[in-house]
Amino acid sequence: MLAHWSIPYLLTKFVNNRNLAIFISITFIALLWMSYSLIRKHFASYRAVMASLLVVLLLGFLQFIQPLPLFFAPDLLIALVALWALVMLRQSISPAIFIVAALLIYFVCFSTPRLDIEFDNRYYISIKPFLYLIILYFASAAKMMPSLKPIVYGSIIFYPLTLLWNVGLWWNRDGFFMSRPNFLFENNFEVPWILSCFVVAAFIYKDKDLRLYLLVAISVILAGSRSGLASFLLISAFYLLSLSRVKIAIASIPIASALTYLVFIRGSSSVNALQWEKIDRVQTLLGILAFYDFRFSEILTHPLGVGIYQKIPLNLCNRMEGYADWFTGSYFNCDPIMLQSFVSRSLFQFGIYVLVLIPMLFFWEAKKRMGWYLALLSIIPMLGASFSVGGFSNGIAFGGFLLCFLAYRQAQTDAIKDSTSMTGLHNVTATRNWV
Amino acid sequence: MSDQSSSSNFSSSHAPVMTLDALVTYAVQKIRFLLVFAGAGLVLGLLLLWITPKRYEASFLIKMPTANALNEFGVLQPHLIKVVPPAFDAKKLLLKPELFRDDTLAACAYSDTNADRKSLVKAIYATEADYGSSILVAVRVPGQETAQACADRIIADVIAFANAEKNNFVLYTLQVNKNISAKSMVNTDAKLTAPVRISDGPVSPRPWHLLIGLTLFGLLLACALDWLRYLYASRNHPEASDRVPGANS
Repeated sequence: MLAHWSIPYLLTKFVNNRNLAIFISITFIALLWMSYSLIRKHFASYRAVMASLLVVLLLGFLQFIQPLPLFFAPDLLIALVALWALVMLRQSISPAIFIVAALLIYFVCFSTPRLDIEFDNRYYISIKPFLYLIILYFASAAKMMPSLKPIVYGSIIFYPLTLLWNVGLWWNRDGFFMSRPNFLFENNFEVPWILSCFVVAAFIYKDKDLRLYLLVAISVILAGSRSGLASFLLISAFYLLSLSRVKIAIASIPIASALTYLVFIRGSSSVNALQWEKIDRVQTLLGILAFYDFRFSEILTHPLGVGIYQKIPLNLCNRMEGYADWFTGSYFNCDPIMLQSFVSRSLFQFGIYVLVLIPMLFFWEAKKRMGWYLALLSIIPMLGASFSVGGFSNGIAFGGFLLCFLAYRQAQTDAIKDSTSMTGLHNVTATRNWV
Repeated sequence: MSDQSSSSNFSSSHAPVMTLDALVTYAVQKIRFLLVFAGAGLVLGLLLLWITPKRYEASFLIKMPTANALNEFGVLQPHLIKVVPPAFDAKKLLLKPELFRDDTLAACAYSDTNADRKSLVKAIYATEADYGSSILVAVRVPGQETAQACADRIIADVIAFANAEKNNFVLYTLQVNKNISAKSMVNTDAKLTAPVRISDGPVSPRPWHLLIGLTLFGLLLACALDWLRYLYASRNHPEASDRVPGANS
C-alpha cells in the first residue's frame, strides 16, 4: 500500500502517464484553491465547514472499505420532505394528479401478471416516477425555513474533493488510477444532483461565480459519466449565453478541457462516435427496439406497454444475460430493471405514450412554478440521467429537481421580504402568484 | 430572467389553495359521496371476481431434438450438433389457430370454432429458452385438471411435431450422405425437461389486485367528478374560486 506513495514510484507513474498526471495535478491545485476561496466566501464558520468536510470524507472512506446498502437513503429523505410538505401544505395541486394516480393504480393493479413460476420484478423502482410526480404536486411550492444555500454550495464544493479522495483511496489500496470515482452511490447517479445544485446556484440564486462552474466541470470530468457530461454541456450552453464576453472566454476553457480529457486522455473507452452501438445502454435500447421489430407502428400496438410485472423477452434476456445476473442475481430472472436506462425500460413497461408523458408532466409542473426557462434548466440533469440510469425513477436525480423548486420558492420569498421591507407593497399579489 | 412574469400567468387558473386541514375537512364532509364510489368499485370488483372463471397456469419446458449439422454442400459434419427443428418453429406451431388438433382443443375445454381457436392461442405463452434449444410454454385455462390435461396434449403435439421434423431431416441426411451409418449420427428425440407445473392457486383473476384497484379507481373517480363540479361552480360563481374548498361550505 505505502509503496504506491513512494516518490520514485510516483515519479515513474508521472512520466509514464504524463498527460493524465499533468491534468490531474493542475486540477488538484485549482480545485483546492477554488474550494478554499469559495468556502471563505459562502460560509461564516470555517471550522464547522472543515468538520463537515471531515465527516463527508469519513463517510466516503467507510463506503469505500465496506459498501453500505444506501440506495434507499435518497428515497427516505424524499419521503420525509414529502411528509413535511403534506403537513405544511399551502399550495394549489395540479389536476394532473388525477392522471398520475390513475396510471399508478392501473400499472400496480391491472398490469398483466408474470408467469406463476417466475420471480417477482423489483417493480417498486418502476412505479417511482408516478410517486415522485404525486410528491411534486404536493411539494412544488413548499416553503422551507432553513436556508438551502449551505446544501447547494456545500455539495458543489465538497463533491470534487470526495471524488479525489476516492481516487486516492483506490490508489492507496490497488495502485491504479480510478477513472470512475464516486462518493456514496455511483457516478451516474451522483452527477445529476451536482448539476441541479449548479442550476440552483447559477440560475436561481443568480450567482455567476466562475469558480462554481469550474468546480462542477471538474466534478463531471473526474466522475467520467457520459450522460452527466451531456447534461453538463447542455447546461453550459445556457450558462455561457447568460455571461459577459470575458467570462464566456474563461468558461470555455473547462468545456474544451472536458472534451480534450475525454477524447485524448481517457481515450476511446468512454466516448467514440464510430462505435456508439457498443455502449451498453444503446445495446439494451436496440434490444428493446428489436422486440418491436424496429417498427414504430409495432410500438404503438402496445399503447400502455406490457406492464410492470412482465419479464423482458427470454431471447433478448439471453443476449444480455450478464446484466440479468448483475441486477437480479440470476441469469434467468429477466427483470426489466436490467435494461438500466429509464427510456428503454419505460418504453417496454409503460408504452410510448406514458414514456413521453412522464417528462412532460415533470416539465409542466416546473414551468408552472418557475417559468419555462428555469423549468428547462432544472429538468436537464434528470432528463440526461434517464438515458443512462433511472432518471425520472431515481431518487437522487429527483432530489435535485425538487431542490430547484424549494430553492426557487425560498429565493422568491426572500426577494418578496426585501421588497416589502423597502416598499411594504405587492406582498399579497406576489404571494398569490405562488399558490 | 422572466421567472416572475411567467409564474404570474398562473394566478388566473381556477386551482384553489389546498391545505392539509382543507383536505381533511373535505374528506370528512364528502365521506358519504366518496364511500359510495369506492363501494361501487368494490362491488364491481366482487362481481367480476364472481363471474370470471378461475384460470390456472400449467408451465413446462421441452428440450428440442438434436441431429448433426450439415455444411453448405449438404455434407454431414460429424462433430457439429444442431437443434432440429429450433424452438422457434415449435413456437410458431403454437401461435397458429388453424393447427390445433380437435382433441387438443377439447382437452383445453375449447370447442372447434374459429373464435375458440384464437382464444387458445391467446391462452398460450410460448418462448424460446436456452438459446433456442428448448421451448418454454405456459398455458392458462379454467380449472386445475383442465390445465393439466391441456398441457399434456400440447406436450404431445409439440413432441410429435418436433420428432417428425427431426426424423425427416435425419432421413434426408442419410440419403444424401451414403457413407454415414445411422448409428454414428446424432439423433435424439424431443423430451419434457421437467414435469408439468400447475400453479398453486388461480393466476387470474387476481382478487386483491382487482378489488383494491377498482376501489381506488372508484375513489379517484369520485374526487375527479367533484373537482369537475367545483370547476363548473367556480366558473358560474367566480368569487367561490378564492375560497379554500370545504372550509366554510
